Amino acid sequence: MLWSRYDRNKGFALPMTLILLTFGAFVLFAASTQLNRTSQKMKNYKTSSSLQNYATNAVDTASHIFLENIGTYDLAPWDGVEEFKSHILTRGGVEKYYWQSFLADIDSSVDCANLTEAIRALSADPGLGGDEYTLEAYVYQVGGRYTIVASAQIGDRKAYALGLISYVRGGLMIPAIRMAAMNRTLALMNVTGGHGNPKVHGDLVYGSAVVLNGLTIDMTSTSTPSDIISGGVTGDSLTVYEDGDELDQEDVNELLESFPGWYTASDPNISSDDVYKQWKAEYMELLPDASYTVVLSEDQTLSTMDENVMVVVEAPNSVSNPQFQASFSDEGLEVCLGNNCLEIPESLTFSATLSIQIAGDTVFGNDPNKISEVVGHYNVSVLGDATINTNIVLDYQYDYVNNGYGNSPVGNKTKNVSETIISNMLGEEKTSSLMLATIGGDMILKFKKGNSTHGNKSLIGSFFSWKDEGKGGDVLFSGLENLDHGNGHTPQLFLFGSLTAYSFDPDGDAENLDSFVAVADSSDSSSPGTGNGRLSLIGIQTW
Amino acid sequence: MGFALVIVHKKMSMEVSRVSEIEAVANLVGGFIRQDRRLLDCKDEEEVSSRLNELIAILNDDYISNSGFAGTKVSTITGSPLIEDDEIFTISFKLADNLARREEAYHVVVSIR
Repeated sequence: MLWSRYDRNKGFALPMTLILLTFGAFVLFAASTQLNRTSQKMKNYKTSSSLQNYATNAVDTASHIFLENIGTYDLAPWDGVEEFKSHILTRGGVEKYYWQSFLADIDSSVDCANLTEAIRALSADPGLGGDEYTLEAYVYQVGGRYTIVASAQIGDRKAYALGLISYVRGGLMIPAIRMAAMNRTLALMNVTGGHGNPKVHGDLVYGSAVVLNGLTIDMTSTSTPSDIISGGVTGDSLTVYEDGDELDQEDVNELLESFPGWYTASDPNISSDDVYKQWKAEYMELLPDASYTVVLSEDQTLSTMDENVMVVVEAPNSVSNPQFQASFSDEGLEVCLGNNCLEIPESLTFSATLSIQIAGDTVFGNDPNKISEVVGHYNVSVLGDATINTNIVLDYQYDYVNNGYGNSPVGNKTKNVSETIISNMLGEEKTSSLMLATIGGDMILKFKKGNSTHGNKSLIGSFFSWKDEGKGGDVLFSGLENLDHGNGHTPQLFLFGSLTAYSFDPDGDAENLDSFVAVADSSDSSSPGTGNGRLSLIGIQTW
Repeated sequence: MGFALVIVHKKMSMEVSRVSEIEAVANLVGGFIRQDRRLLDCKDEEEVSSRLNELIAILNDDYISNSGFAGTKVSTITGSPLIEDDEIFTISFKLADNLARREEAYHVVVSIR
């Protein structure tokens, strides 16, 4: 008993308890302080989120009012536009430079329609903040389009939203793709990977499609068929997957009833081969009857040309199975067989269309990651396979495919951004044109991994792959299996113009093609035109 | 004091967590409604109302839970014309937070012009 009494430290429990309590209190206090700060941040985030939502709502409202009263507004400059542009530059990642470029035509000296009063008249509505926020909205005309800038402010905090109004073409439209058969399910375009590292999957046909032997689309219950093919499809059958499940025929019919005019059944009395032959005959009629033959046995330069005379490039008789190499550049077109080349200066095709036929398999370009710029007007036909070992781009669209830093502003973009850029591309003045066809051969699209292009391929022009005497007519893919599917990019084929073929990817090599975007060009005079369509808000960006 | 701090800590922690979730869901649902092509293709208020009824089921059955926010549901979605022309609507939706037992209202404007 004595031993135990004197061996204990007197009063030890109380100080330890106090120390632990104090320590615990400090830990809790520190944690609570941090939570308090986090809570404050959350409140700020909530405020920012609300501001952005109301700014976006203001754009939607302003665009609606503007389109209802278009042409009736007095125009005057808005001095707040520079503050808006500065606001964008302080936010976002690399896309802020794209938006800066997009807004280059707008500054404080440019007139705009002021819709602020119209918006504020509705600001008591809960959708516009219930009179708690200060709203502004201005509309600028840029070419044939309109740009809306709106803001919402509370205290000293402000959010901006930008909307683009452009012509949306619907109903009967120019075909972007025409196929007898298409071995690809066209899927709704979506983005995975999150902000800053988006990965684009799915397909977008901005125009109409003709797929004679049946088409399969993969959509969701909240999307429409027009989200995949904007202008509708013609064919003998349609298979639809919705949220991963195949719809039965009754459900497909019910779906199509909701979107009248989107699907047109092809005439059952005319076979798909006959329709394809009709397309081919229409193309052949475009080729001049008269011809002038160039035998590539030495270097030559074409000095004159006649739109009604086709230049036929042949190999010497001593060469069997010739393999031609063709290159477009800002200097014109060069067609080579070995070391012997035919030069066609750009000046010849400046104001007239050169028809040229190459009698043998031809490879265009020498690197799938490089761009061949087409300057002038060409109708090129290849009697054999045409291998597209490059990106083919018309001069006036060049900047959309190469931003000067090796990247493509139009490649691998989300649907909204794609539609915005496409709208800009359609509005450009046409200074060049290209028709490129294979006759009796396939069109082979070569892809290659590259640091900047990431395997994206861009083709601008009208492309045809014609079956002749049972040979060719396919669109084939090469090199897709070696491409990256990460680091912010996914392999994509971006086609601006049209593509006509007997079959698309019959070998199934395009499984590794994550995205296919085909845009019908309204300047394609060989296709039925439909006018500009109607003005509509096509996209909103919020900061 | 320790107990008080524990209670405050728990309350604030839950508050931050719930606000984060409900704001995230509000952004998801708002974006979903704005981009719902079938809603934008409606022709009048009746069709808008019908589509909104479908959207509640789509959002609650699949979209929100598949996005990882099982504790939040859309309790109501209503649409009312913003102006008389019946082509622009304020879509109001309430998010019910089942854990915090509260509702928050959000509004998006869509034009079906």
